[in-house]
Amino acid sequence: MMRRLSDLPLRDLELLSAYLDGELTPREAGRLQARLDGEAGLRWALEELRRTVSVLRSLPEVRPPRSFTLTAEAAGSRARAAAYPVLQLATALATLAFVAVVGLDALSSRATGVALAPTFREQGELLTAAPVEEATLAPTSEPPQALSASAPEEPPAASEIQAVGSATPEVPIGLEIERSSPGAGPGTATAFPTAMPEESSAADQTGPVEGTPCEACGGGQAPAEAEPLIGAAPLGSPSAQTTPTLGPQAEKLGGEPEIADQANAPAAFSSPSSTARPSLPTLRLAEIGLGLAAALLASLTFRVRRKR
Amino acid sequence: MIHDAQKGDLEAFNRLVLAHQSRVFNVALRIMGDPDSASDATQEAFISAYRNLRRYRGGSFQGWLLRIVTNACYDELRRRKRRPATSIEELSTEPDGNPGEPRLSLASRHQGPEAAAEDAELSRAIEDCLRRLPDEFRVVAVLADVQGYEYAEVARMVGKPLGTVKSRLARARGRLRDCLRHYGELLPSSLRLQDERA
Repeated sequence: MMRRLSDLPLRDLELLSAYLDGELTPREAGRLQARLDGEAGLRWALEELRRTVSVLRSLPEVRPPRSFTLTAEAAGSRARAAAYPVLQLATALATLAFVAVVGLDALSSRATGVALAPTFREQGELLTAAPVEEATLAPTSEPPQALSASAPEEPPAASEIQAVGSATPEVPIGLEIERSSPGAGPGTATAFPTAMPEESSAADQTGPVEGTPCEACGGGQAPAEAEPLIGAAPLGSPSAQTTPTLGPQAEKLGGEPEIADQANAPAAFSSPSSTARPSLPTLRLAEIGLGLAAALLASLTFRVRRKR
Repeated sequence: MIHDAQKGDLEAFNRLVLAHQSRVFNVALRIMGDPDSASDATQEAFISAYRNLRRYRGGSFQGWLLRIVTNACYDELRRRKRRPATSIEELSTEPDGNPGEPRLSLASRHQGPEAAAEDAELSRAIEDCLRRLPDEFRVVAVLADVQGYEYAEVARMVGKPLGTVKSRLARARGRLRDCLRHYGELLPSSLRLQDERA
């Protein structure tokens, strides 16, 4: 009767196989030996396994068809293989650093834009604070009526200036008018076209102001001449020092040094950006450098991977 | 020699290759079933060994190499399974090769062309039966029975518990015996399998 070994219970097959190789514990081997003594089928199965193993062991060694020694080129690939993970890591780090710097750049650009707004606001406060001081000084040299008289017939213009300058609304209109031309200057360039005619008209009304530096600066009456106005302001300073003893015209002149001071405001405006600017080129350089490094490392990694 | 090779001495490593390539190739051959695939797996194993030589922490260097070649064979077999069309074609054509032209240079145990032809026949029968085994059974049977390694060594090479190796080997032997029974006339009388007499 023909029988298949694979029909044997798996446990028996495993025991017989391990018994054949001496891999059973003495206790297991003893128990199996007892069974072998009483079971012919097990003895047959053990013998078949023994023959099978002998057949397998009879397989001859085959001579390799060629030598498998490594060439220098294959050995070179070992260095490349070792470099590959390092290059991978370096590429990843360079890419991360690049992304971080770009993000930092974007954030700093936004922060610079946001930071400028409060600065403008501060400047605006300075501009409004100055007229208040002026207003406290003005009564000593001239009654408020005189000031208001300096621009009595231009309420629309004054309100316009007030709107453009966005200064404190509680400041007397007359004062606004007087200092609107320089004060509005830093805020917006559009203040000049409206402010300059205001001042010139006021100067025309006060008459004696003619020939003052303000006339020289206001003569152009063009927005583009805002710079000469600022530059010419110090010229009026000697006369401005005599402000307390002068009349309303002198009071106007006395405003000139302040005009000059506040004309420096644009420089103050640029200070936040000028402090931020030096860092921007550094960031840009870092971005370029890291971007190039990441690209270079990526291409190198790719080449190494292909040659591995 | 291993120490020198670990330092990057290529000549030292190649001496190790020459010392072990026959065993490594034979294991690959019995697992893969054809010399071309076995050559590829062997070469791949030696390259991998050279690249990872620093990870070798002592013990049997040959065992370490055989573990690498076994893994290389597994990888190739998995690739074949993902491309079954190629694999089936290869497997179906190989056993029908011209019997008069042995593909392998067998180290014949006997003298004379007739004996050599018989050996070749027997080898083909065993190879055929090995090929019919599931991969995990075949690997264990090759390492334990064809190459004669102990269970513990086989377990290290295949990275499986000893119990798994025992079980796989027992089942592999059972299936091989049932397969070889069909080649009874090819087997030497001392090895000829017997039918059970109830």
